[in-house]
Amino acid sequence: MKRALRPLLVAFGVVGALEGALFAAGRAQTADVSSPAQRGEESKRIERERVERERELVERWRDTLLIDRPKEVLAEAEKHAADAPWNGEALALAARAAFMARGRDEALAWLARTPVAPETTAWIELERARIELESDELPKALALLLRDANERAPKLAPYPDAWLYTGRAWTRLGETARGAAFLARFVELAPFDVEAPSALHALAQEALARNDGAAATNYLRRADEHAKWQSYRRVRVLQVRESPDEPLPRLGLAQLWLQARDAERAKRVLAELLARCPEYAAGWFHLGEAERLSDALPAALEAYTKALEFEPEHVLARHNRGTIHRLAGRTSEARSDYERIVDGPRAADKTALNSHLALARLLAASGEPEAAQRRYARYRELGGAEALAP
Amino acid sequence: MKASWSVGLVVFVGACGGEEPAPRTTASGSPAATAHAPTQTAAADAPSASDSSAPRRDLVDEAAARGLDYVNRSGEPGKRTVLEANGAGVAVLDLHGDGDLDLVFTQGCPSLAALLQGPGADLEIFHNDGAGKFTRAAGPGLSGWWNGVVAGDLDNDGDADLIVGGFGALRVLLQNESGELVPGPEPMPNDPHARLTPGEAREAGHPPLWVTSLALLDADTDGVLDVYVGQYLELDPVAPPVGKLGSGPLAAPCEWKGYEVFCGPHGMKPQPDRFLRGVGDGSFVDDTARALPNHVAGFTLAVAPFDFEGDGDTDLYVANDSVANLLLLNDGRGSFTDVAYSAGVAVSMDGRAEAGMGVAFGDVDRDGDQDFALTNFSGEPTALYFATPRGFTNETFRFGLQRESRALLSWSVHLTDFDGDGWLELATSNGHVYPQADLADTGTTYGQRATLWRLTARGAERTLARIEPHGADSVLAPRLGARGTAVGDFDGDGAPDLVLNRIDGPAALGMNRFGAANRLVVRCVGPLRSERAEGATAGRTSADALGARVILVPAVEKGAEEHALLARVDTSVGYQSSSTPWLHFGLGASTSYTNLRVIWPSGKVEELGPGAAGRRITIKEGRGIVSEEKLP
Repeated sequence: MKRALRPLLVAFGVVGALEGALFAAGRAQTADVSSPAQRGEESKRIERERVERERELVERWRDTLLIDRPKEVLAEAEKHAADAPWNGEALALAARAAFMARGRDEALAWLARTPVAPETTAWIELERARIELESDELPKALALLLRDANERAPKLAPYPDAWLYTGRAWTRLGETARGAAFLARFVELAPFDVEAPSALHALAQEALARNDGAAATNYLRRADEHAKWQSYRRVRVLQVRESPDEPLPRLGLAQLWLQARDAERAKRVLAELLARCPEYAAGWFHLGEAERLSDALPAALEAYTKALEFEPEHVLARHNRGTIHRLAGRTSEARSDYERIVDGPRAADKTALNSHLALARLLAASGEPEAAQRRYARYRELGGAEALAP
Repeated sequence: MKASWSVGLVVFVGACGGEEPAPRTTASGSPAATAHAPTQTAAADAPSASDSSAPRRDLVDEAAARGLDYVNRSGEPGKRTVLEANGAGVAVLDLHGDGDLDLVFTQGCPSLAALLQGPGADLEIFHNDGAGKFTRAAGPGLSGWWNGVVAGDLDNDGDADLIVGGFGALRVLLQNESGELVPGPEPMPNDPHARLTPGEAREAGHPPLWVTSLALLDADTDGVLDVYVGQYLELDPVAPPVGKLGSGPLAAPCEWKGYEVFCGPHGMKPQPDRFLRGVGDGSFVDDTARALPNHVAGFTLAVAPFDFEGDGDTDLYVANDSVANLLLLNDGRGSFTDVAYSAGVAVSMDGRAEAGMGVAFGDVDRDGDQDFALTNFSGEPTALYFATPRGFTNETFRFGLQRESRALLSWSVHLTDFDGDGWLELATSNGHVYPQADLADTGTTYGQRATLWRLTARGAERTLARIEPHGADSVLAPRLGARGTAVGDFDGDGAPDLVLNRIDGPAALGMNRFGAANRLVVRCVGPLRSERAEGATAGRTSADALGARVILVPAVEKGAEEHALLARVDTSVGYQSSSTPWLHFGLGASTSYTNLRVIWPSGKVEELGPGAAGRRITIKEGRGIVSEEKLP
């Protein structure tokens, strides 16, 4: 395995995940260590890995439910039914799968089936509220979500779903204005949640009911955008499951997360992609983008360099690497990257246009005005419109 | 503020959850004799004429005994393509002008290959002897795979004609003087690939026209019926997608709940609907560009006419599969604008575009406007919307319909007072599209019972009570999928019956056996073409008076709740089917009414004053009641 990839994959749980119990912290995984310091480190490592394992599981189950495969979640959940304590979020998802596949009673049985880690019990309460909501037991759902009917925030306010369910219950009871306040907060907290388009639609309806056409139009526009995004996401997840070794679906999925400015999700998807296709330049480039989005410029630089190792004429990777060099004050490396683009075979590509300008500006800043002008003229020739001076 | 938790407005009656709730039980634990909620005991609503000691019965399947031997064919059992899942429809109409209701079924083929190879299917016609006994008659000689059908007097000669559509075909059938349906002009689009002729060689890559539901309406009130043609999607019959959509690494599998299923509608291209303007002689001109100027194609499965703003012209509600539904507002001259979003009926209350399958209008809350029910896919509830002065409110969840219907995949729908108690029942035909629904952990089943619920809405109180089948011979009993259904009184007893076109199986004929009730059956008719004055072409009522609204005010005892019942003459109801143009009013305990008002499409209003229940009357525009007979 490539040196640069290993830490990333371990961090994202793609490799190095421990076999065995999903939820039992530390069980059968403690290494043979002697000193208290070593033991402390070891237990931290184990805890980190457990958290990572649970996160990975929850993310995967959410994706599985997104593509409407509850039986897959249930099959996996059954395998780990004896583990204890469970992560509450995972148990809630198992219950949701049971609701989708087998109905309310099975879902409630899942929620009562096994103890959950105390810090995750909120998920169980939320799932109970969701089950009541989906069973048209609207007052019961609200009673689970709110301390008092006049409350303006749900009991579990840090959880976006609590806002969603409360808003939805009020809306379904015909109290659309009351519901809208909760739905608006949900959208703020979780703009890329799978339920965001639905909440935005409901907000649009409520805006229409109070004759606020402008707000309604805005909500509808956002709802449509988000719905489109969600629909692409669903298809990409399906394609990934269908063709796990094909790079394009994972790349598409990572791009969607980048579009949502969720660099961590994008990095995780790209880590999976690069584990399967370690010489895939586009994957490395997008990993560089994700790192850049999280302001991890050294990691971005490393990723762009890997992209160029496998596709030396990758214009965007080279340009971005040049820019990182420039920002770090490594002018000659930056110049070298820009020159390679503007003197290279793809110099006239649209994607190379910014490199012409970047090089011109770099030269100007380095006290080479003539060279700068020459490069700038070429930039204009190719259709660039920005001024030489930044 | 604990009191607010109990809400106090919602009364759920019936059992909880899933497709097959347990019957509501009495305090002693025995099944309730009736599914009436305790809140439904007002004297005005009790069907007083019924014999409470008789065993309760509902809609008894008497198809076989009455000679109805139609058996649907809808492709292969495995359902390789979406065409095979949508099933067929049924139309109720009077052939021969003998006053009884006959039946015309659409029909599919054993497979897509069989359709291409030919011969295709013909329509199947059953004549009623007047007492509800049917005899198979010769079909009109069509050949195809037929889906939607609608009946109405297309040439204003006083008898019912038919328009039928399917996969690659749309035909007009005019009833001649012998009561035969004779193929008339074909209102097909100009595209040479639109028509699919069974037995004729066909190249891949050219999906034909695919008509699902049809609606008849007089859009510009010129006294001539027009047609809204609901169309579904682009399916290439020669090389249909199987297993996946697209190719290469970005191909998307066609799956549901993790099982491979037929492809579509997701990922396929919807076909835009069309609007055909009636000429008056049974022919039509394509007027889509003018009538539907900003139309967005959306996998139409059902379309129903109604009057949204009560202004007398006919608007349309279009149920789309998987994308937002349409509410097409008529400008009075037959040009339509979609206002579904602003009316609150484009998507679900949660803002989701659901898979609309069927639609029916009726005055559920008895406030004088048209509410409606919309059926949806499994996992999505059948929705119920109440009309308000500024649009609709979604009453689905307040009625508890999500809990009751989410496991069902529902198709056709009716809001009809079957038991005559003065409140409308909600009837749906159900059945999954995927045979894979019977595999593990899908949360639903392929075969599903038809369902019937009593609805009441008093003030803020809502009740929903599922009517459990009285026995194995009820049409509500078998777990068999059905698609198109239609309502009509087949045995002339004044009670509406229900015919169901079951997919891949024999049709069911649910004869109304709820028992005696106070009813009034009303037929509205407009002037025949031959009776019309020359000159004016606007402000006319068509011969079969589609779009006429009738408001009946039952006489109630002092202290009982006063109400009015509104019904509108339309045949396009439910899914791919056509119901009776006769209006069936249930008067509950009332044996008479204090007023009967007819608002004709022409704009004329007739007040017919008080009268007795227990009659079947015909009202002719401008001439009042022209015939009446006592119900048995």
